[in-house]
Parts: sequence; C-alpha cells; structure tokens
Amino acid sequence: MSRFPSAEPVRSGGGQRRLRLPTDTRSGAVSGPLAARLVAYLYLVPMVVLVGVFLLYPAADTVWTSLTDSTGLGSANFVGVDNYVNLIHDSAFKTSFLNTLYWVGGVLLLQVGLGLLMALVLSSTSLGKALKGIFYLPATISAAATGVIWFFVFTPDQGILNSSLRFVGLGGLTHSWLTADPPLNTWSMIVAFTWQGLGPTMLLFLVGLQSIPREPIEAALVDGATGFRLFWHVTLPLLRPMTAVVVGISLINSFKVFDIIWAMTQGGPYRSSETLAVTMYRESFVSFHVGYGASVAVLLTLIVLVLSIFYLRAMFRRIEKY
Amino acid sequence: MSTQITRTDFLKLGGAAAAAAAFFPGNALAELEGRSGHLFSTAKTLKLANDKVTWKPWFNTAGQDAAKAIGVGWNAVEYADTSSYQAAIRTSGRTSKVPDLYSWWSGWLMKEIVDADFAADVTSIWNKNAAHYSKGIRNSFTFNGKTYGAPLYISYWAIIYNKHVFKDAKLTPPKTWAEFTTALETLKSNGITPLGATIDGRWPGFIYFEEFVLRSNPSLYLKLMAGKAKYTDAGVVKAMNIWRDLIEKDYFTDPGAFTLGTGAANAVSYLKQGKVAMVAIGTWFEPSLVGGGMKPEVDFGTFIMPNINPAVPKVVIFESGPLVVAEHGSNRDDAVKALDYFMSRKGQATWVKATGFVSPRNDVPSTSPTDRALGATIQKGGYKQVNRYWEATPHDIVEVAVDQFDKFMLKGGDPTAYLKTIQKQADKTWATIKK
Repeated sequence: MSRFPSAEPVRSGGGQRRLRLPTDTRSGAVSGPLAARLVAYLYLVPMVVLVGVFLLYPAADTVWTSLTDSTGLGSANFVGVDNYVNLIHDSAFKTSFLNTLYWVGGVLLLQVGLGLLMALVLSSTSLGKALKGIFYLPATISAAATGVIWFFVFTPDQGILNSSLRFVGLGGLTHSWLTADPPLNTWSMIVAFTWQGLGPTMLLFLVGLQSIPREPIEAALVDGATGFRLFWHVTLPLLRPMTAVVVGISLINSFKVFDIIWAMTQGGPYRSSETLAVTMYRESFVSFHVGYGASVAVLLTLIVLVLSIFYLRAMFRRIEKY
Repeated sequence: MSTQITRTDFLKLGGAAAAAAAFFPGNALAELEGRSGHLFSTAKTLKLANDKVTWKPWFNTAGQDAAKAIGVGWNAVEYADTSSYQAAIRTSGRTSKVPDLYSWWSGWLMKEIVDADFAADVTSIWNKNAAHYSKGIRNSFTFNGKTYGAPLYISYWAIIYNKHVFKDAKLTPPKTWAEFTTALETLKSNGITPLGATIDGRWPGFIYFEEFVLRSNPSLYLKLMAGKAKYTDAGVVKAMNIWRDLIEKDYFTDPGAFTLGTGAANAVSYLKQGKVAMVAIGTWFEPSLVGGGMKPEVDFGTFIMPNINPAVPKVVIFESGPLVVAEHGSNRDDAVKALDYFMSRKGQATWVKATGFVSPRNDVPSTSPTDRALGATIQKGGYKQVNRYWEATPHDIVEVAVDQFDKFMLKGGDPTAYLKTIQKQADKTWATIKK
C-alpha cells in the first residue's frame, strides 16, 4: 500500500468533502491524476507570481542596470563591465569590503559564539526560563531603534559608556566610539548589533540543546567525559543541525546589515564604516549613481549566494553522516 | 424581485464604499477636486510634494490663502525621507503623474531637473518681480538664461552667538578679522569653546571651508564652484591652513561630539548653557534655539564673519530651495498661477507669517528681530549674496568633499592631501560635464 495517497475525496464528520493533495514528500514533485495536479499547481501560482514580480524581475533588472550608467534620470547607456572595473579600483569599495568582513567575523564570534555560550549556561540553571525572556527583549526592537539607542550610548560627551568609564575612574579608556579611527567605529556598531541579535541565536541554540537525545550524553558521562571534552566531542557534533541554521542565518544577516549602520553613522565618518549594503544604498539613492550601485548589489548577492551554497553543502554533508 | 434595500444590502454597499475609499491614496479626493475644479469647492487644489514633514501645516495655510486669493490653492504631500522623495520625483518627472508643484534644491541639484525637462520656465514671473529679488538668488535658479522655480525659503548663513557669553567676556560682534581672532582667544581663556563645529549627518563638513575661502577670496570661491579653479590652488590651500591654525589652537568643539540634528542633538543646549559661544549656521536654526528657550536679540544674535582679507568684497552665504512647477504636470498652467501668487508680496507675507522664515523679497520683513537685523546688515553693508557650497558646485564633488572635510576636522594636519583627493574627483566630474 502506498504511503502517499493519491487525491481522494475524504468524508469528514461534517459531511464535507476534503481533497487530500497528491505529493511525493521526498522529491517534492507532484504526481497523480491531471486534475489533482492542476489544483496543486494552482495553489503555487500566487506565490510564484509574487516572487516573480517582486524578486526575480527586479533582480534581473538590477543586473541589467549594473551594466549601464543609469542615474535614475533620463536614459541609461550600456557601459558593459565598466562599473565592475571601477569598483575594484575604488578605495571606498575596498574599505567597504573589509568592513563587511569585520561584520561577518564579529557576528560569528560574538553573536553566534556568545549565543551558544549563553544557551549552555542557561540550559544548566534553573533561572533559565526567566532570563531567556530578558535576553530576548532587545530582539523585539527594530534595528533602526537599536541604532538610535546605541548612538546615545556611544556619544562622547554625555553618552552612558564614556560617562560610566569616567565615573569608575577609567576616564583614560573613553573614546569617540563612532568617529574614532576605523575600525573602532565598526566594532562599536557590531557590539550594538550583537546586543540585539544575541537573544534569537541563544534561543535557537537552547532549542537545539533541548532536542539532543540524552543517551549519547549519558554514555559519554559513564565513559568519564566531562566539561569541555563532553561539549566538544559529544554535544557540539549533536548540535550540528541547529548550528548550521544559526551560522547560516547569521552569515547572511551580517552581509545584509544596513539599518543599524545607517542609523548610527550613515557609513561615516568619511565613509570609514560603510559595508557593502551601505555602499550599495549610498551610491544608488544618495549619489544617484544607480548603475554603479546596482553593480555593488549584484556583487554582494553573488558573494552571499556562493558562500551560502558552499556552506550549506558542507554542513548537510556532515549532518547526513549522523 | 424586491426593490427594498435590506439592512444587509445597505451594510454591504456601505462596506464596499468604505473599502473602495480606503484604497484611494491620501490625496485622491483632493485630486478629484482639483481635476473637476468645482466638485467640492470653488477653488482648484493642486498637489505640492516635498520632503519637509514639519512644514506641512505651513504649506497648507499658504495653499488655502492662495485658493481664497486667486482660486488656485494647494495641499501638501509629504515624504518623510529625502532619498525616497528624490527618487519619487525623478521617476515621475517625465509623466503626468508628477505632483503639480514640488520642492527641490537650487544650483547644481536643480540643473539636473532642468536638463531633464522636469521644471517649467517661469522667467516671466521673475521679470515681473525683478525689483524685489536679489540677482544672487535669481542666478541660483537660472540656467541657460531661463529661470525656473520660485524661492521656497531662503536662509542666510551667519555666526549665531550667545549674547550673555559675549557680554560676560566684554566682547562685541567683531567687525574685522583681528577682532574675530581676539574674541576667539578671549573666549578660550575664559574656559568657553569659541566655535561649534560638527560632522553630524556628514554634510556640515563644508560650512567652515566655504566661510574661510569666501572671507579670503570670493572670486576664487566662485571660480572653484564653476570648475575654473582647483582645490589645490594656493588661495584654497591658504584658507585651509587658516582653518587648520584655528583647529590647532583648540577653538572648535570636537566635531564628533557636537551634534546638530541626528541622534542626540546637543548644539542648542551647549549654546544655551554657554559652553559654546558661537556656531556658523543657517538662520533656519533659529527656531530650534527659540524652541530651546532662547530669545532672539536677547539671548542670541547674529553677525557675518568678517573678511580675512579686508580688500575683498563683503559676501553673505545664502541657502535657498525652489518651489518648482512640474513641466509635465496635468495642471501646469494653474501651477504657474499659484507660483506667481507665491512670489507676490501678499503670497510671501502669508508664507513668512506662517513659517517665521526670512522672505527673499526685500519688501516683506521677517517676523524674527534677529533676521530683520541681519537683513538690515546685508542691505546697508552692500553684501553680495553667494549660494552655499552644497548647491553651488556639482554634487558628485560635494559628496567627496564633505567626507574629506569631515576627516580634516577630525584628524587635522596638512590640508594638501585632503584637497588633492577632492580635486581628483573634481577633475573627473568636470570632465564628464564639459563633454
């Protein structure tokens, strides 16, 4: 008997007819009689239209725009790969690319690393439930609002960070956090971003920890593994599916980050804290070098796409081993 | 078939009508009113788009006044974000969906609009009012001999100073450069930061640059704006070195700490508390000072920075933005009539009363005593009016320049490297423009 029933009307209690759709859950392909298949495709049409109109078409248009000298006004002339060549020679782009790498590294280290650490700590204490909620609260604020709050925190004269340092006698450690030599301004913003994003990563890791089967842990404990060894050799490998998700999401978010930077420094001073997403926005909508901005967008998309493919393939290969 | 309307039917109809109305964009009813002309009132109501959200009640007051006076008025359509506003005008400018009237920026930013044929030629209105508007202002809206748009607002740039701080330090507004530098040193030795400088929002980087270049050599400034001089020319380097000298003497606030408008704006409180004595800023800043509890001519006053070179003509920097008639708007002729009224004495008087701004018309006095005093100084002193840096030179150069000026303000040092970087961009930009 097939585990995957074909479309058959099923009578439920109210005497109404319900159609069970034909799907082969393994490959996602739709099989079964033509009428049932057409119905299944009809359910897909709205999403296909939405994705096509609001994602695929604009993406294709952006790729085309990146090959022109468009300024949003008047006609755009085809310039081939000129924009991409200019990008490589643009010192602002080089700074932007470097800052983006700082963001990726910072987010992975702080947001993911700290998130895992906090999840481990919270899962072993009884206060975990209450603290979970508190740690998650910042995630409910918008990134722009977070940017404004931390702008106040980092203000040199009256900001709470410098004021606190002076209060405890560490006045020598005060800085102009957002206008000082780069990359201090970038790292200051990464701290703000981490403050907001720690909650969700911690929560995801907590879920992951709770879904780990007890048997391997107990077996390892019996064998004498404790503390860091237990974590590294047993817990972490079992946590891999969740780690894959968290790292994947954090990676993509760190490449995309824009609103918190725009709220805090607008990529300044003198473009020293721009990331690829900020450069893309600035070139397109502040300077109206729309073609140039589009080339940054295409490059950013390609980087994230390629990274994601390699990363996910590697992770899923390892997950399948388990 | 029943001809009675049941309650359900009525509710359905009402609901449908409400839903349909909810789908109409905000000003559709005004649009309907405008298009038909006589549907709901006897006046025609145009759309005036802008990105100055706090000005909405003032726009609408002026629009209603115009409707009463000439039968053509307007309603404001607000955009909260400048970038999306610019994008909206750029994309709709060629179509009839463009708003009938819209605010823009003068000088090079306006040139793009004019070159793209988005703005209607209103030279005739300017000719009519020629005696009441300065040539400098007219020039900032004139391209290829034709003038486009009416000045929506004009701000003069001056030094706003705390009168109590000056009185305590036994200082009066300086009339010469020597008096100015003496004042700076006196204030510094009294423990007060003499000048407020900021990079808040990126753009303020040019403020002191334009002041020091203009006070040294105004014709060099004008040549520089037009691409006929270089940032690396001796005159410009000299002005930057004067600026550097003042920075090294610690006469300025930390530009990263003194903030104007984004985030924690502390400029008003620092001026009020007397921690900072003076700031070079546009007169549009005055309402913020008044809002912070300072009284014009009692707590604060203005003076124009004295010339470094006493031999050169006196100039005052102005900042003006146009109200533009959309060339392709569906009510173009009515919009021109509306602009005509806006530029008239009555129109300007209503506008100034609603906003508290300075009028560019020389026969409409400002409501602020400080602005009246400044206006009198400009008239009596024979000051020539010069457009501010932001609009006076191509925007591609401005964007690079403000970043370099910001860096210079934060890091100081030899200005040559910064000026070379700006000139590199200037060479690129002027090459494409002259092509």
